[in-house]
Amino acid sequence: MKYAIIREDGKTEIREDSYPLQTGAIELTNIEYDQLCSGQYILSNGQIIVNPNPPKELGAA
Amino acid sequence: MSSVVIAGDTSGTVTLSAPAVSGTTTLTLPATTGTVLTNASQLVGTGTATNDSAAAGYVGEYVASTIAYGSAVTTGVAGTNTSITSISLTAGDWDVSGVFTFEGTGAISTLNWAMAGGASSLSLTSATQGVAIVTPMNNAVWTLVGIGFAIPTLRWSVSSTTTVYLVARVAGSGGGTIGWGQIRARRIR
Repeated sequence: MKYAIIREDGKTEIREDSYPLQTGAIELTNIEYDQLCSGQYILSNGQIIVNPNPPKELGAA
Repeated sequence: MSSVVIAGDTSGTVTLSAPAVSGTTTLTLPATTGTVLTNASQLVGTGTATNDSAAAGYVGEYVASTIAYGSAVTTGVAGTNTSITSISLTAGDWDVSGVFTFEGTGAISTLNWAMAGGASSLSLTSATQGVAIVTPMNNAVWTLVGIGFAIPTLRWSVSSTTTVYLVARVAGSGGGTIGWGQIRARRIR
């Protein structure tokens, strides 16, 4: 099962395991999981949105 | 009937007949504690034929936790151990590996080294088994774009539920760093 949880420090953990879904976890589709792991998308207010500050590309300032 | 005994000569073959109607043939063994199916010869079987996952407790079980760039953790430059994320492994024999990436968040004057690895606490050192270490040859190269490196596979044989942290340290001076990455485990047996 793929899911995301918001930690107490506000960071989003993107997780995959076969354990029972934790309280407060947001279940993800395969596509959503890949989007979040790429860093190109983030979780904001329960919605997956384009990351306005994505990882830098090589050579970019 | 409490049991069925299958007997034959030592070179014989036991064949389960296909069901009379369409269905799956299943051989169910007792699930009581201590039941072990032993095969002293080569074991041949197919893997899954789709994108499903092994159930908890079964060989092939997969556990992973990722912190992506958008949730990067402050790792600084003071050489302080920092937990990026963690996974919980139930008793068993696991292969654990990972990846860690970091980048500068200001004017880094010196980068001495960075290391990351799996650890059961924040006690990661360069002597920790399986730790990955990088030492840049040109400090100016990495100040704008991050450095990422793989954490090699390490066996974790645990007798009870154990938390394995992805721990990272970055040492240098000036500015700061943020880090992100993934730690994952596969139950190998």
